Amino acid sequence: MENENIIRKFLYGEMPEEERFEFEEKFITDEDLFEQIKSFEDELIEKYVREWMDSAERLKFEKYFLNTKKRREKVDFSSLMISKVKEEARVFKKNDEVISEDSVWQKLAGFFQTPQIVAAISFTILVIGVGGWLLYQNFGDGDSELVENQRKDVTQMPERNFTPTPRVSPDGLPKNLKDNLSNKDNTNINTAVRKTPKPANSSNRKNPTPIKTPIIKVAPNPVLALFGGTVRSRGKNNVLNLPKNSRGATLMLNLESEDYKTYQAQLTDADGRLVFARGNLRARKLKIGFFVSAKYLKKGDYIIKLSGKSVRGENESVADYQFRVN
Amino acid sequence: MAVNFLILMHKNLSAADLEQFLDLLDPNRGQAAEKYIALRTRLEMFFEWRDCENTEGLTDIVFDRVIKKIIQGEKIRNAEAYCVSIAKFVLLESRRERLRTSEFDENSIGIIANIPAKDSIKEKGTRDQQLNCLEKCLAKLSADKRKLLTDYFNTDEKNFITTRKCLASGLGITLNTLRIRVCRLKSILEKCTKDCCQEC
Repeated sequence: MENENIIRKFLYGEMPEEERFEFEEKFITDEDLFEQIKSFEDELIEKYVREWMDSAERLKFEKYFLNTKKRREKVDFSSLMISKVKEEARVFKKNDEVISEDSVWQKLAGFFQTPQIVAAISFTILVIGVGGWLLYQNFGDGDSELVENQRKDVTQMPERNFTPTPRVSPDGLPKNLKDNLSNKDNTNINTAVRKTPKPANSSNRKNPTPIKTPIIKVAPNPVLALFGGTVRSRGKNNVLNLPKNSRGATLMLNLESEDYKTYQAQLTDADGRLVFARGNLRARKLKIGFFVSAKYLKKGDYIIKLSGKSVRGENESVADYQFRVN
Repeated sequence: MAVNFLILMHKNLSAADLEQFLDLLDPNRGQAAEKYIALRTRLEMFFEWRDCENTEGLTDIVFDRVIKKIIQGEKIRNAEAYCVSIAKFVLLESRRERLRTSEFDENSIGIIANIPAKDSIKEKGTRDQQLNCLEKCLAKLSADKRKLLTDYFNTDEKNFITTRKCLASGLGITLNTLRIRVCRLKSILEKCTKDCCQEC
């Protein structure tokens, strides 16, 4: 730990000159110390590219570390290598899951043999299935049957083409489920089912097709930290990898100082067209964060022009932040 | 082979002069060559950590001067320590030269760091090329080394220390040794990727 603090001081140029020369003499003649310094440097770079540093250290890193071409190239390479290795790890994990799935099912097959377990699992699946179906109804068109029926002025539901799951009895509820649900729920569900019109093609009932409860997978919204004041922040153009299903991204603008009460951010594309703007932003701990919907973040290069509102109410330019959406 | 290698690096010096230098490093010629390469790496990093751009050139100057001193009859006991003292002088001279030839000002470090961005299309092409080369270089690694990298970096901020301690424990090594091992692998990949990009 003490060694790490000394190495950190060395790498950030915080050692007095005499002490530094002594330290340099040591590592040039001591291979072990040299390797330690190199590996610590690598770890610092990793923390930087993975945004694991706090803002104070990040500023220090950018000021003292990114001031040679070689080190910027090192940071670039680290970023590329770590993303590539993480991508490989995801692929390996997925393959492992596919392989192990069979063996898990094989193990569970034996467990499912006992009648009590079979009954319990079937009941659970039925509950989940009905619950999922009800959720689907709720989120499907926004006209939830349950919500509708809780109102006093119940209205007819629009016709829907659906067929009940094979396990659902004609009135829309499995018998054992009716017994176990609360009366209130029963009423709502029963009413919902009664209100639901019969499917257009009744012959479907003979060979009902199972309803797949859609599982809407929402990708997490990424956060991109941006630094102003430099054209190439962190030694590279900032890249936002926006997942397909994400709603958008949070852009976190880092400030060198908080000189204004409120700020305005204007997002322009590579052609200088204003794409999105957000005003009345407030800085917090030298950061301004705001969410941008994915519809404004098509692939390409962008610039955020940040301006602060002066006392006289005029917008004064603070910094520009560049990034690219992939 | 070591001497030939050195001759390529230091064209103005004779084979005999270079052999004297290698003898200082180690009587065994093979070991001497390895020590030379290791020493060279450390000197280059010395200059890099002192914010020098031309690290290879400056390191060459150090070795040239050390070898010249040997030719002049200077008695050198420890070649590595001697190289360090020469390196300090070379560093100071390099700094004076930079001050003399540029408008370098200690207070404008921030400005020096602000190097204009490359053309974004060109940079994207370079990055794609780098990615292709990295993939080729990763493919050259053995499966266990590749797995080591994957296991090492596949973690998050909260758990990375624990994950790596477990990884090190599983391999029967200390965390420090694991870091050094990964650092070496990364250097190999970086060099391989750089060489590949230069060939393209």
